[in-house]
Amino acid sequence: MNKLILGRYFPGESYLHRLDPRLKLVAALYFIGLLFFVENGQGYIWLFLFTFLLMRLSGVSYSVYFKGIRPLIWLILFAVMLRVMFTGGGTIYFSLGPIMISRFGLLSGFYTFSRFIMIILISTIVTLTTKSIDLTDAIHALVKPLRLMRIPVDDFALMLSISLRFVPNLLDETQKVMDAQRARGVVFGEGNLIEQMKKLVPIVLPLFVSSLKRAEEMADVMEVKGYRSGVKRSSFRQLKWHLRDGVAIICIIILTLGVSFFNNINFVLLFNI
Amino acid sequence: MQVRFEHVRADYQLGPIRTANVINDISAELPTGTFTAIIGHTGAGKSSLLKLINGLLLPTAGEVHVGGLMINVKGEKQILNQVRKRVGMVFQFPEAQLFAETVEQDIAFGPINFGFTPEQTKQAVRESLDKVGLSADLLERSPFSLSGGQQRRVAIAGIMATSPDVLVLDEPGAGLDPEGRKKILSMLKCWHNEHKATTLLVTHDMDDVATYADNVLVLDHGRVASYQSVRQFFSDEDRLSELAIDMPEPLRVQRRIEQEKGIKLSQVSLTRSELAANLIKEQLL
Ligand SMILES: Nc1ncnc2c1ncn2[C@@H]1O[C@H](COP(=O)(O)OP(=O)(O)O)[C@@H](O)[C@H]1O
Ligand SMILES: [Mg+2]
Repeated sequence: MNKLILGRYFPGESYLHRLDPRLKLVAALYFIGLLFFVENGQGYIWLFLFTFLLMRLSGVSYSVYFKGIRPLIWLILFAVMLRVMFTGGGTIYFSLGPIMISRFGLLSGFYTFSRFIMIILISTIVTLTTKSIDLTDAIHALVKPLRLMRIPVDDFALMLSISLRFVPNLLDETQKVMDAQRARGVVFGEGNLIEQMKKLVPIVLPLFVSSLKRAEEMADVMEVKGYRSGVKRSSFRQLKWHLRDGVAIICIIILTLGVSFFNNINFVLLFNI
Repeated sequence: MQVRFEHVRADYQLGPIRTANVINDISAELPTGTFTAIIGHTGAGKSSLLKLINGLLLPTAGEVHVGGLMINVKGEKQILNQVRKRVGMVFQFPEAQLFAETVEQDIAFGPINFGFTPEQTKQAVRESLDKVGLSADLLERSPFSLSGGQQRRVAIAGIMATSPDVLVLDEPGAGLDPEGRKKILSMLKCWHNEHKATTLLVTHDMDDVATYADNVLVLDHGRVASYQSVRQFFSDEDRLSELAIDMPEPLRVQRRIEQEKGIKLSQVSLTRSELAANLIKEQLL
């Protein structure tokens, strides 16, 4: 439970920490979109270099990121395997019924692998360097236009930020309840599936009870403090655009140009062959 | 059952980061049947020390001995299961672990897990419910329908029902009214006397220490700052102020009287009746 890095925040003062969360969010989405357009080795080298540069800038050591990938590595390898085995084209090295290993298959396997890895790394970079509250503010700002469609954006944003706020508490509490039941003789991770499911009851139930209790208290407190939905409200935390955010945008544009440059070369090569 | 720490270190792993040594080279021996109070500031490592005793936290170095069983870095499952059977652990706010439909089922949870027969379980449930001072009509009620104080007693009964040889308590009185605290502690003391269980009590209340414990272990930043008998501990005024630890109420009164009268009583008073006896002996009353 404590192994998952994705979604955690690392306090820090790095360049990435200080960037505008709206920019970080949009840039990450853009980067992930970009990944799906790149179909050549040089382009991926560019993207990898960029990703490593960002990891460097975040001030968190590389080993932390790779530990974050580890729990997901089997899933990734599985997807890559499928890709390699069922893609044909180019030189074929080996084939057996519908399964084959071809040059194109290996290449697209490599692309799939790179995409997965970079998606994880980029999202990890964003969450490691952005407080969850800033992230919700950013999401809030980005979906604000939906207000025009009479969607209660502010209420959803508040719900999201409250939920995120209590994730660490819930994890702590889960740990505590598990410890308490272990002390009462429960051995987790033993027995058949049904037995294992039964062992979840003594954990999940107390968590439900305490979460409901807390939700109720929270609602009372908000009511007492005069919270009402559907009222226009200002925000204590103001997002501001700085020079560094402009610099970041320029970097992203350079990256895009670089990547599309290689993509074009590749097209040219492809047509010549 | 004796509990012994030998050069124990421990920390927590939080994702990729390890905390500094939360328990930093602790060695101590708690003899069979003693009642030891564990005190120290918040974050000193009291709860962590308790968790080491039944292997919920494993040492990164050193050994924890519970009776003839030894827990070390490896934390073999076999041994941990045996240890947990012998150690009863009452966590802070233990009512948060209640989950069953009825009080009876909840108290029976531990005994059944530890392999009690149905008859043994039934008897253990009734006895422990009686021990914590709840009536048998509650057995069929849902634990969630009880008051906070009652819930806590049910949770404690659930631990007592496994008849542990070592009882470990993390601030069992926290969050209760003074009356409820006093009842729970005196009931725990009573259980300790009957079962001769080695008991560890984490508390912030020096009156509880003075009233119930034989020995005091003071933790400070994961180290043992002091470990001696309660009487010796509270006699050493300089050391107390060095560790920033309050005196129990009766002793504070005694010190005040001594100051006013310019005398020194021969013995420190840990309880009110001791204070009264001491004053009478010195013919101040
Ligand atoms: N589950 C945990 N994960 C990480 N750190 C913890 C955990 N529990 C306690 N700690 C840290 O260990 C130290 C000692 O905590 P604890 O044993 O709970 O102290 P005490 O009970 O004396 O207040 C504290 O610095 C605390 O932050
Ligand atoms: Mg504690």
